[in-house]
Amino acid sequence: MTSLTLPGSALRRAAPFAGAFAGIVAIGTKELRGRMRGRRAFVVLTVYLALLALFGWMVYLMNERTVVSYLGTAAFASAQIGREIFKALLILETVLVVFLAPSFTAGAISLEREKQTLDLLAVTPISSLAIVLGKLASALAYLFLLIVASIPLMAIVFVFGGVAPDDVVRGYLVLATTAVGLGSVGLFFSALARRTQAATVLTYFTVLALTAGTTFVFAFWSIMASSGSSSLALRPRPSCRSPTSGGARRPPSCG
Amino acid sequence: MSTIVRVDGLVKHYDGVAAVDGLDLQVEEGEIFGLVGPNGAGKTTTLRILATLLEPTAGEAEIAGLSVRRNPAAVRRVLGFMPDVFGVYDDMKVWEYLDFFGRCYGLSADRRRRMIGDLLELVDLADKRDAYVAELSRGMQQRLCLAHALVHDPAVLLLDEPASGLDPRARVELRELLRELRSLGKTILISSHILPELEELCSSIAIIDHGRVLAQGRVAEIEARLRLGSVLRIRTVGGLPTAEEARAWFAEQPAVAAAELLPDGTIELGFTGDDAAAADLLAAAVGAGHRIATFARAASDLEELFLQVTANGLPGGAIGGDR
Repeated sequence: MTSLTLPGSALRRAAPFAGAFAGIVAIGTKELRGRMRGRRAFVVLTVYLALLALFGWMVYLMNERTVVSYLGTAAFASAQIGREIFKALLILETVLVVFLAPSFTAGAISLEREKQTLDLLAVTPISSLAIVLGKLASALAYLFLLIVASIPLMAIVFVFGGVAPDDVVRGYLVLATTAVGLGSVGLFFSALARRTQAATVLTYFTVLALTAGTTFVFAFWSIMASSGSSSLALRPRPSCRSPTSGGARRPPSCG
Repeated sequence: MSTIVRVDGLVKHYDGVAAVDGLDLQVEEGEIFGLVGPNGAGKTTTLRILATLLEPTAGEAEIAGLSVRRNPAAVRRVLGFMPDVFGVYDDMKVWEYLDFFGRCYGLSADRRRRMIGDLLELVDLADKRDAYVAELSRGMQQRLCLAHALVHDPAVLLLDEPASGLDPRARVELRELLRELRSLGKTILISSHILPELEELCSSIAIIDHGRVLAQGRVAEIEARLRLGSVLRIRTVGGLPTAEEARAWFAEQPAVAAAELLPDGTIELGFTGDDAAAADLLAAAVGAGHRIATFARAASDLEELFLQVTANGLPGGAIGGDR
């Protein structure tokens, strides 16, 4: 008998998870159907890849002029170009993710409220968790499609060298984490705020604080820490013979 | 038949204001039950509590023996709900819309496919299967919303003002549809602030105002009681003293249960006779020398009852929510 009751109780314990999963699939399917319908999603993907390729090519041309002119061996210059292209593409994609991830989720729940469809969802057995996860998964699915589609483009850096495969993997992991994190911020405010407009404003304010804000604090902190309690700050004018300022960056007034 | 929806002493406060104030209801299985009341009477609040969308402040509500407070998840599986104002996902096709809600209830792909065909046939949208929801007329969207509430084949349907915003033709179609659903064994709880809309359709009604049930029963029963306890309004010529005299005379007549003189000079009689008895009463009054200016029986349809009940309370205690 025990062998019969055991799977039963295991099944009962698993049932809520199975239900939640079915709910996530239900919401995700619905959202993706709307998002991927027609030509728009594919046109956006194509234009995005074309612009990314153009950007990569321009970075290559720029670096070809500057790097090759004052670096010795061709192999070293090639690696340098590879690193520069990798850096530029990854920064551009990060900026895209920072802007797009919250925009995909900031309306996810508040729009249901505004369009008065949330009640219809709330009386189904689908759980709140399933609604939230389904919304997040479907919003991020398209974003991940954009990210994954750029991998072949990114692989061009291997032609130049200077970047190891694990660098690329690490870069994409950070990108994916950023997408999930900022997408969640948007979803949070979407559930919190009554209106999509308010949710969007709150989301971008938070994203700004998390990106520009933390960068500023980091810069502030590192400068304060390195200069210590130097009396430099008390002087009315920066010294022309400051050891940190190189010859080229000397202020013009110092003639 | 057994009671499938039971509401006991339901109370719901919004910021200290009672929207529902000790409401009791019993709905038998297989009925079309009408909740009637003016706007703000507490109909929507009651339905939303039954639909597990709102927590009651006090009291209990059960659907099919399941408490909406303690077991909302199970309640959701036995009821279909159509709110008074609802949106539709307009970027979806009609069949996708129903498919989505089928998935929400965890139906298998095979069952969903069959359900979509059956329901679209039922609500007469089979030819709109691949149309976008946004392209449907208001009446069609209403029927689609009703279909969405049926995807999991619930025993109880809660419809909040389903006919509002529909043109007369769409109303007739909706009424036909609800009758058909009833014949399929569904119990339907439907709210409206327009009584004639429900009078023809419903087997039982409850009249609600200020969050309380003022009268509840079978439509025929309520009408019969009303006819028994109808009100005669009489005005005499000659001011209050003569009116008081007339009131005293009327109070002694048979078939008059109660006679009351209102401050404006109108005499209200609780009258238990039929039309012939009323004619006899009038003749006798004139014969006794009373100068009658108006002699009118309050109209005996439910509309009048509704107005009376919601404006003045129960006429002479003739109608009671005593089921």
